[in-house]
Amino acid sequence: MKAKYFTVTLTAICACILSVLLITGCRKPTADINWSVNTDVYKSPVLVRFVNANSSSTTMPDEFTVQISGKDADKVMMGSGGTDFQAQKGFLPLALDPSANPSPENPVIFNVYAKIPGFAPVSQTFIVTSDTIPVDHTIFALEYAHPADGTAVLQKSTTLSGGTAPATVLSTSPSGSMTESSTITIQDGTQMLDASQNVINASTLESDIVHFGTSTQSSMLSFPGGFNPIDVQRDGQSYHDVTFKTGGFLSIKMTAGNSEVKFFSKPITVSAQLNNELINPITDQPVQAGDTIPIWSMNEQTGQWKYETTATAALDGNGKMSIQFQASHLSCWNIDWWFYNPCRSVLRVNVHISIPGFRPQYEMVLVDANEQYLGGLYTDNTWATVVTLYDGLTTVIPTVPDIGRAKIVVYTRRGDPTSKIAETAFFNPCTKGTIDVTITPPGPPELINVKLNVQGKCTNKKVVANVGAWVYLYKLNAAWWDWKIIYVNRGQAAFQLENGATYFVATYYGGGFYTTTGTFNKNDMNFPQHNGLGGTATYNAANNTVTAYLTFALNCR
Amino acid sequence: MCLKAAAQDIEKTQVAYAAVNSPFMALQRPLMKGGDIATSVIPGFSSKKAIAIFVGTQGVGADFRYGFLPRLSARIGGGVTPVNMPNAFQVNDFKSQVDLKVNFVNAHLIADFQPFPGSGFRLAVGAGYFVKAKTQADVTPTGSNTFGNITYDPGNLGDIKLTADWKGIAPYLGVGFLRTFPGNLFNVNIDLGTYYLTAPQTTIIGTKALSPNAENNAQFQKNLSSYRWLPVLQFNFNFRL
Repeated sequence: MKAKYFTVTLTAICACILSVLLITGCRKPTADINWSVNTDVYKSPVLVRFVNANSSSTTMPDEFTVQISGKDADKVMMGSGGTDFQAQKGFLPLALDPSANPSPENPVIFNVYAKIPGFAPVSQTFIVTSDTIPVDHTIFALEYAHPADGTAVLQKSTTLSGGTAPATVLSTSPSGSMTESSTITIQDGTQMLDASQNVINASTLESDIVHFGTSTQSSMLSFPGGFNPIDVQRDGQSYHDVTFKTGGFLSIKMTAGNSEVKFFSKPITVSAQLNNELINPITDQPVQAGDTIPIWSMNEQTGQWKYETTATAALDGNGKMSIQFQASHLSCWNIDWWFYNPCRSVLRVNVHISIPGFRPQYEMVLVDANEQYLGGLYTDNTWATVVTLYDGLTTVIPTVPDIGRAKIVVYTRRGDPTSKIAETAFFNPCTKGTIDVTITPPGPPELINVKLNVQGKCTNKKVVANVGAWVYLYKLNAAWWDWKIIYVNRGQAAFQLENGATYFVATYYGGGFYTTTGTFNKNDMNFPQHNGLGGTATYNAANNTVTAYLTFALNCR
Repeated sequence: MCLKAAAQDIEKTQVAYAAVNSPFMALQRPLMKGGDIATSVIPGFSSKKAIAIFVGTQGVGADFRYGFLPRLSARIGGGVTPVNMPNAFQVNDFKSQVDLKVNFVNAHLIADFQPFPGSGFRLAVGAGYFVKAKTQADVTPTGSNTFGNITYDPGNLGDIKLTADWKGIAPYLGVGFLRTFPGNLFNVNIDLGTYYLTAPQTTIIGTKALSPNAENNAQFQKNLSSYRWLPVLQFNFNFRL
């Protein structure tokens, strides 16, 4: 009996020990695991950033709807999915449908058009030639209330009678660096017509007119659509590889009642003065009376340019050289010479930087004698102007206009002509072949390597999405241009920031605009959850690298 | 009969040898003093060889058992655990099904000692070599999964395979109940014990959009690091040879 009792006792003890070992020894196999999902299903990320062309204005484009048009519009979507094209804080992240296969031979082409409240409408055509390379593009929008230097604005309300205007003169006036004026004359009895050419029965005419001059870079940067349209229409023919060389530009918007005016029953007369220093690229001399300049109109919603007429320069009553033409419809009107037959030469650009290892993001462009943009770099199958430069970089401008005098200029800050840091002598881009650009930058600040991880964390699941998203980093208490745009591919990006600087960090994903701030320095740190974005960072002295992990909430189902 | 008598003589000799040399001798003495188990000690094994077919938590298998001494025997054999469990369970994080595959193959050598002759109670000590000791869970999406505005169809999301492999030598400790060797042709006994497996080697392999989950393997390995006890509840069907 004792043996049996002992046996039972021993068995019970063994069973207890075994149970305890099993129970205490195990934890859930998936504990503390967040499943990762790559959500970069779309191709060719394109960030369109809308900014105020007037850098001193505190008003920035915020939230507005954007129209996507063009032959490949159906392939465009928001970078985080969907086709609800809404910009937030001026950011519009786009991407291409997975079925798109853009290449230099078969680019995907689409147009972005936006009517930003308080700003002149903007339009930009995009050519996507790579399915992987991210492209960011800044559109400079002109604010009516605070126009950029080098432009002139007129916003005026006039009377109509049943949609018919009396004799009306609308003029923009010189202001600041803008030394030219423009005048639009509406004949007495002119009827305001809508897009269907029906008379608009209204009693007031609201006119928003912007005259873009040629004397400032801020005006040039605001030039709708840029100077390299995909193609232009002239006399029923399409011309490709066009480069505009502008003598000015007029954005004319009129609204009768609540309807947009598109046509007039009688042509209106448009006259515009030309800058005294404007060089005629045909003669390579300042514009003289009798010089001719083609006039173009643009359908802003499609980005399509069309030749309208040719104007002849003449002195006006104020002794200024000016042109005059008649227009029967409203759109953007462009006073431009054009080069549709590029010389097909490749211009190779060799970059030399005096500080080895320094990789600044500078703007490097080919410009004409008026420092008007003629072409950007072609790196990694992507057109770009603001690029990361380094000593020894060799890149090309594959298509250059057939223009006699051009030069390469380098700016440390896009849109700021005072930031020019290097330029070459004038050369003929068609015959030069190779050009060396030597940059002597100021001593860079102490830099710190940053590895940034950005993930959307599902609120109801243990899943994190490795997003494809753009991250905007703006250095607090610094000049407006002190920002960096980074594309985070599959949730990861690597770049450099100034050691010790505090940055406002933002990303726009899935309809949410998430922000935080943090100081990137040689310490571990936290990014507080300011507006949905937050995380931590650790510093590794061995490689001078801060590794930051930022997350935002994501709805998953 | 002569053969049987001879066998009993040998067993008596073995019992006497064990009583003198066993480390449990001190434990046995008071029990033997009582005299109530003396009759159990003397008969010993009716046969010192047996074949067992077993089924239990470590799978199915067979082993050969040999009694070296009346209270000390050993068994050598092998077992397999081929388990496929389609749609074994659900995970909350994905609309998916999880197929579980368990493939354990082991060879083992275990000694059984009867501290209390006649009780059928055994202490079992030994080791197994797990030629295979792999568990695999296949997580396959079964419906649309949406992350933000991005929806994946099952075929586009990919899948996840989680594996853990305990291959290697594992010591065994346990207890047994009922006699190891059948008095007649056949009997059944029970083992209760555990293998202490090697630390598992884990992998996570994701495909397509789930490919980055390989980075979770370090945590997975950490979570499974304490999964080293393989409990054994085993029913042995013993056939006397």
